[in-house]
Amino acid sequence: MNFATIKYLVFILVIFSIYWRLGRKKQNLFLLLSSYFFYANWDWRFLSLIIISTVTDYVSGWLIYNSNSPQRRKLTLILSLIINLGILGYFKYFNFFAGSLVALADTIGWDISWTAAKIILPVGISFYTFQSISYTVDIYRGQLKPTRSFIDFAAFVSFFPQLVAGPIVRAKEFVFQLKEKRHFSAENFQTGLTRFMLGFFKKAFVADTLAVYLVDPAFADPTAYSSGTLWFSLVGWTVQIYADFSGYSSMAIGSAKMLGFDIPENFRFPYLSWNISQYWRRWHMTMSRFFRDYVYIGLGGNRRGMARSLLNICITTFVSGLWHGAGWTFVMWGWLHGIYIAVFQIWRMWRKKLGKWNKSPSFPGIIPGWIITQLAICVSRILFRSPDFSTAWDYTKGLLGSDGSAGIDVPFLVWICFASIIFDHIAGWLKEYRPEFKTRVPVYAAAAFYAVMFVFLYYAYPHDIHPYIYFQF
Amino acid sequence: MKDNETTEEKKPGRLRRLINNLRKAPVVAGAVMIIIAAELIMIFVAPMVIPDEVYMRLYLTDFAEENTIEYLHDTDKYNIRDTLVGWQNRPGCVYDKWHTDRNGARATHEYTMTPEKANRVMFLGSSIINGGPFVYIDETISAIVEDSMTESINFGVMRYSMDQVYLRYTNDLHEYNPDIIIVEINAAPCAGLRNQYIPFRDRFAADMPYLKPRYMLNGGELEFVALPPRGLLDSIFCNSGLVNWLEERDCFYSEFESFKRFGLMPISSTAWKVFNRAGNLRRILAGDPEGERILELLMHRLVEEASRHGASVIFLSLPDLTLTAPERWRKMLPDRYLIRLDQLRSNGFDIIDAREIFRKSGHHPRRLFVHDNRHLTPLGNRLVAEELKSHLDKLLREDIIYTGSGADSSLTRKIPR
Repeated sequence: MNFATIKYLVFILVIFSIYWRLGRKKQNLFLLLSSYFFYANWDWRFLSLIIISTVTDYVSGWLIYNSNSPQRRKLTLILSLIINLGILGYFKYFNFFAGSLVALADTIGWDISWTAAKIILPVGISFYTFQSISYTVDIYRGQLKPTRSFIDFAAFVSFFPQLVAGPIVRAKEFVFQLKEKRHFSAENFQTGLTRFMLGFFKKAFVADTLAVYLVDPAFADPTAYSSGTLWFSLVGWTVQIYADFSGYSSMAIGSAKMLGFDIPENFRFPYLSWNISQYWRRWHMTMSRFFRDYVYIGLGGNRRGMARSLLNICITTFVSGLWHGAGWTFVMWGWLHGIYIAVFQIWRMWRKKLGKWNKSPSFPGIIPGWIITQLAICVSRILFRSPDFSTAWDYTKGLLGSDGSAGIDVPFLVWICFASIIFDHIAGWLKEYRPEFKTRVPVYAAAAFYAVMFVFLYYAYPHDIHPYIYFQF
Repeated sequence: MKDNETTEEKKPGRLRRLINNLRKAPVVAGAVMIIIAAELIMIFVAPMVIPDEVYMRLYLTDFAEENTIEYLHDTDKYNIRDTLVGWQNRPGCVYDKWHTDRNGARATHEYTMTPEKANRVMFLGSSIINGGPFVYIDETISAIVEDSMTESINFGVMRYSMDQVYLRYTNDLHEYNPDIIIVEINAAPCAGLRNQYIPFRDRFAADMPYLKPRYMLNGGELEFVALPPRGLLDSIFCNSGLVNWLEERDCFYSEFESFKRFGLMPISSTAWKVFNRAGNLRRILAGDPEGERILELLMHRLVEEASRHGASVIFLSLPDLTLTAPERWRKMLPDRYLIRLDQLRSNGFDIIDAREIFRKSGHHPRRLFVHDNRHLTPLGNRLVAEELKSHLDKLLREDIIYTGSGADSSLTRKIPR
């Protein structure tokens, strides 16, 4: 069930009308059943995978917590990871790794006949698997007590607003909220609904309009277009993916808020970043946090010297790339970001040694860093969007000088898309760096803004909603 | 008593709670009020102030203006304007899979008025029987039916309804001297009969914003309504002349009238769509008595006219995917398609039902229809054509005396011309 559809609106209306009439325990059970219904709407067969993950981690959590033997605790954790990552690995990576091995064997002259298994990728498997894993690991690390109620835990793993594309919520941020009864609050409802509307606008209008008019045509045949057009389209793709994913996250956060839950932010104006490290603290924040806490720190972080720290970064970004998609283009994308981060860390270290590192530079001072960072991000996105290396190569070559001469005649709506994301980031910049500009928007102006947005969306809503880009992960 | 009063004070009523909540969520409350006010203005005030031509511009979707101009200036790539029937196939047209001969028939070569083979079959109807741009000529029903004895001419024209078929046959197509005419009855054969301006019936038919003649029922008899003067369509975006003309003559005019009030704002528009769906359901349940009566009378006239020219008529009922493989909820409703066919058969019409052929074939329905769920795939066409061929064999072979071998001239006809 896509958030930007009438079906979801009807679904959430029904949920509201029942949910707010129930007591705490019934609220949680109802949430669980609704979430399962929500997921089954895609494919009911894969519900079993969520249930296996849930039972595994619920039991593992208790076994780890109740055990005094470090070996037994470790063994239980490893078993839980094997089950969770085994399911993820089979459904998401089996064909990829098997195919890659066959290709490798072929290169060295071994003839292995193999046909790809027909495996359907369950929607959101990477997201809920991570949530589930974080619970067991946190208990193992002694940062969390296991939850007593299975229903509460199952409701946490399958909470429908963020089930299929995040934000990746950790148990310690969420489970305690399930233990309290939620009361309807008009303030929360307003915050949630307005947040949902803004997300809807970003996804259904900005992302889908850019995809249809600007991005899809250029990536379908990069050799046909002129360099200028390819650059323009690349910027369009950068804006599209932000609008798509941050729009989805906003809708998830808004839906959760309307149900009385707070889930963490996933984006904080990423295109304001003037270095790559900052970018990863602003882009898909819950995933970055997960990789930092469970992979990078797990590998030793920066405690074992510069060289080891750089290696850890490369491993983490490799895993991150692989998490995004079972394809070498994603792996390369991850590594490219690993290189960016490593280069930045070395540069920062060098500047620190020279005593020239300024943590908060002035506005003109950040411009070169901003340009380089955004350019690097844009270029890496070619790998993220291209179905294969050959398309990515054609596109990159085209950026430097293309044989094609075609342009894309974009409608006025495309400019509105760009303008709205620029406005979004300017507002973010003022909020962060110029708090003195903080003014209270009059209620009538805010009401008129949302009313106009509602009517505008009715007209601009595309007939064919694209699936969320991050659903495939 | 005092205690009771205190308890009542503590529990505010529903209205009070609603007001309190609205006060706590002023942005949502304000936005809802603004939207409702705008909806009411658009329903009650705007139609009195805004001229029809402005609404017409909004009603007609993208490219409709461009296509109207193409239609008026005869520059459309598939069709040309026709003063009697509205439009017909552009003769001598070649686009990808689409070919027409010099007379506008779907063919790569030209048919003369005199048949060159023993029998001549003529196909009339819409783009479904024509094949449209979805199939090659040799994959159309007409081409598959053609053999050494039978010549087959395809005069299917995009969006034609029975009234236009009748007018075309009476006016000029009878001159081709067919022995048998195969006439398509499509999934919604009555809708087009009560319509003059195509976008009123189908707002999203921006590719064909054309006008057509129609027949109205007057005291149980058919009364011809000719095309409106060309000038009315020419000035469609400048004045409301065409809208005024259609108000009296097009049963779908109410669609446009409803659009003016309910089509422009989100809430009323959604309500309107729900209402329309309910209307469709009502039509499935109750049928369309006026349209069905017109259809029947036109079919009678066509049979009479054909027999006057020495031809017989076979009607070919071509359902869409929805009718061929209805969803579960539709199966619970009366089968209006079959009821209509039974009724027409009981009036003596020779009708071949393609749905029956499709169901008997055992093929998955999706394989029989192209992506629009209406036009047939080459497989769908082949199934229909094979059945049609055996039906034609029975009809034609009995009527022809074979007097020699080789040349077509040695075949003599029994059916008097």
